[in-house]
Amino acid sequence: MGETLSLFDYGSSSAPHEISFVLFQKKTSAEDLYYFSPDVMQLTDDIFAADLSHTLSFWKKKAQLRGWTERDLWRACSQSVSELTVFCSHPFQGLLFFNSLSQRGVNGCFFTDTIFAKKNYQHLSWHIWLQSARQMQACYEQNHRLVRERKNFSSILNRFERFLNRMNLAQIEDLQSVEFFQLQRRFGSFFGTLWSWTFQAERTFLWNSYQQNLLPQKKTWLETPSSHWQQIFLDLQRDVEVLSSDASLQKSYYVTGLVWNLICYDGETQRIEISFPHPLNLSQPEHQEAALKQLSFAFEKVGREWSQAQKDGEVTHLGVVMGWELSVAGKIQVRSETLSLFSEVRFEQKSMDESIVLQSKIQSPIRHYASELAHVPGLDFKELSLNETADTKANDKVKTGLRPLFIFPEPKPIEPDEILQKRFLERVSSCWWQSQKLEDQWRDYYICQLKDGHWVWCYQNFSQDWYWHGLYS
Amino acid sequence: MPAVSRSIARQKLKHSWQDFLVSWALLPHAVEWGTPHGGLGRLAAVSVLRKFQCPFTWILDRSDVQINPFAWQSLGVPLQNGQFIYEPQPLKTFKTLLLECSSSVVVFDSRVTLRSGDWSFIAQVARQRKIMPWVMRPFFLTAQNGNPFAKYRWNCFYQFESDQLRLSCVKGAPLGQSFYASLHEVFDG
Repeated sequence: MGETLSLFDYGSSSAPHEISFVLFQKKTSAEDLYYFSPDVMQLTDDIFAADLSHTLSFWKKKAQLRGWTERDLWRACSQSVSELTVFCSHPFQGLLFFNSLSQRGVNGCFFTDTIFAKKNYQHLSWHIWLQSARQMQACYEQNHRLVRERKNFSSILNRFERFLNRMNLAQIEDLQSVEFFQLQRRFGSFFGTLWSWTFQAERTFLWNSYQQNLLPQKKTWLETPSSHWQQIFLDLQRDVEVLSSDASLQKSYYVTGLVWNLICYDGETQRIEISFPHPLNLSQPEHQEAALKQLSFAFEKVGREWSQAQKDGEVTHLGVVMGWELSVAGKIQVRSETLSLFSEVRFEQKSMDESIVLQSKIQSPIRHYASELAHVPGLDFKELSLNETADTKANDKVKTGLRPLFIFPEPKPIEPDEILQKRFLERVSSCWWQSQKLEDQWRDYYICQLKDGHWVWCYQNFSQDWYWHGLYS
Repeated sequence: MPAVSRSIARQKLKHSWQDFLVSWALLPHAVEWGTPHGGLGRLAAVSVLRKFQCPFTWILDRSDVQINPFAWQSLGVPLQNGQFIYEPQPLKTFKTLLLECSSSVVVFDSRVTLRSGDWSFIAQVARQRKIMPWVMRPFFLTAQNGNPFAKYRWNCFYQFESDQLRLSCVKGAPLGQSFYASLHEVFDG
């Protein structure tokens, strides 16, 4: 729709990028690493990065109980994890900021999207960048990754350092306007990659997971091979109980997922990875039940795939399972000091637990909405997370034209001759006084009957184009 | 029956929207509602939810559309009462929610065929847990294909000429009993 619907642009309301990684220093035990997320990468000897995308919803919910944002909670909890913690949207950008702060001897919890961080980032010295680049080189070398790209990288960095001295460049912003492929052509592909990571907002990063040790697993052979959930359920339930009683899952560990390797009748193994919507504490019976529910969904899905493959003649085991190996895919540690933050809100904790368990027992996410004080259709609401409360003012009853209960994520163009009859409902406009093109700012909404008899919500824009925006159900 | 008497009888069966709302109470019985998509029938259902002012869960089997929360709110339904699930295979989710969730009304908006075993389960859980399962069907219900497990069965559709929503009873009230409401009435309660 381009320029004509500038104020109705659906992309404009979304945040550019979110915090999804945290960098911290390892203190003592290896278990401390899995405090924020089960997915951790070692960047240097003592700096680790955790991928928060697996546990973001968990942290959000925990924070909501306290009436905090997840950032407040991270800030409160990170003190016991590391003296310096950096939350970032990209691990390399986080590492640059982390090194910059460490060099100054600053401790605390920092976020890379704050004004302080952005100003710091603008004036970041090449010394820090080169240090971080060498750390990334060492990190990938240790894991034998990007071997071809990193060839002669140390000498390239030395050459680049000489180039910086010759050009008298001190800060990375001096070269910000240089296209990354120009630097890549001159200094090699790994250099280009690091340079693109320095300013890029997209989540492109070669992640190398640091394996968790001592994750419990249980192998079971069925007395009678079976393809029915009811027949394997009891054995599986017993296995989940065994896993939950494992010493490494004691104290306050929450499991983020399971790996279930099914051994089929023909000896083939089917690997099923189950990622829980919220981490589950398997020592609690309700959470065990939720885990079993997730296993049943996975088994059902695999059963469907098998029956389809069987029709196509691709499998021979007829969906019969001989046994399996069930293991914990990841765990996070919820420390006692974090739990104590919620001691005052025991009632809400209970309701949160209920909602977490309910969400874990169904396949699709449960969605909650709140309206926003914007009168542009499609932008006048936001989706809430499970226990988030809506702004009460925005949720008072408002008078509008007859709007449909269901809308399309984006309006679809429709031919005018598809419309059998129509009735005008309302003209929707936005902040027309802020725009120079007044005609861009309005839409005329109609209730229309299409040729197939359906009543739909359509609008006509200033250029007389028709769009189908909703369905009167 | 002579033509005049039949006409009078039909008049007696016509009721207003307010009568319709008064006749509804939050009871632990399964309700089936025939309302094709694009027919505006769900507007009436949402107005009933507004009357109840209770927590509800709405399961929808369509993924091409999403809830328009502003419309729900402008109909007077508090958004904090509602939770919504888009599920392509919704029957299992529906059963889980009937057993587990704390909503008073669970709406199953799907074209999935429900067998008598499913209906038996729904009716039983409704009684046990004192919740109201509300099954929305994207087609009109008929008395020929009866449903012994649903306490009430209604059809709802919009008539453009008279600008009215029409609700006609298939089961639970006198057969053929109809309620008429203008969209204005439905919207403003």
